[in-house]
Amino acid sequence: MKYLKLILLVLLFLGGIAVGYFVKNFPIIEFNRELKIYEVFNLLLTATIGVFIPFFIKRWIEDSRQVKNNLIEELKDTLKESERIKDKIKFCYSRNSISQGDKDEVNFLFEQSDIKFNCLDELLISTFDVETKTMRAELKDIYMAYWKCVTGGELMTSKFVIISEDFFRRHNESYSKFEIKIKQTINKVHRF
Amino acid sequence: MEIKDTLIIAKEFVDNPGARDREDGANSGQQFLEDLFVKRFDKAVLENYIIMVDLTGVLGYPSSFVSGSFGKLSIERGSAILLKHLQFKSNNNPLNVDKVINEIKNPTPPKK
Repeated sequence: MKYLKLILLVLLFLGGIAVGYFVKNFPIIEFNRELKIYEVFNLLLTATIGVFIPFFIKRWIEDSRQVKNNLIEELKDTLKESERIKDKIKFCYSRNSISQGDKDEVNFLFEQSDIKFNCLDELLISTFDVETKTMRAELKDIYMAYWKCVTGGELMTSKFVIISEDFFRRHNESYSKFEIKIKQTINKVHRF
Repeated sequence: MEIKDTLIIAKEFVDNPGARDREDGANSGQQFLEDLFVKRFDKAVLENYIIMVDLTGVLGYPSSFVSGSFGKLSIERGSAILLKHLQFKSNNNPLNVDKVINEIKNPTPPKK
């Protein structure tokens, strides 16, 4: 190994002499002697910027786009999960009856929707913690308001066996607020 | 203060909580509060320890149940003492903890 390194060093030295000899006697590139050293550095710097910056910027843009796309998908999934509650209420309203089983299902659907909402919250914290602080608080408030609107009043009482016009209207208004907030959040994420 | 008691709602009460008051139907918040929770809570206050309330395993918490139990107690005793002697956990759904704490801090006024 020691001899191999020595041989390599000798070969490199000889190679250097050979390159110097060829450059001196058979010049392929003519050097302009009036060329300033800073002009050479300028050329090298421009070439570096031209090659490396687009590579890194493109990669950074693509990574950032992917993160935003994931967030937007999660927001859409959260809305889709909560849509199941809306659909259940709508179904009971059109059927003109709601049973205890239906009410338990509404609670279960909220539980599922909560889990999805938690995922969204975690994702927003891990990607844009500072930027989304207000947004997260607003989303949670509106989501909680929807939960209270549906399960906080007469729906859970045993006497409530038909979805009234008034309940259905209040439910739709509350759900719309949540839906609008999710869609506004999607637009904001696009602009990050 | 240390945790000396754990109350698992799904095991010690039901896994499908109901409405606010007894008159509203089965498994109400009032039933949970009066028949199970308030005695345990009073003991915790008297002996100065914390109860861990485990919210895990329930199919879903209706807002009326939360306000009929934790909300009602918060109105009667004040939120500070509840937050001092209670801790909550929900293994699968941390939002349930937020829901209960939010109700303790801002209890829904009782219906007239």
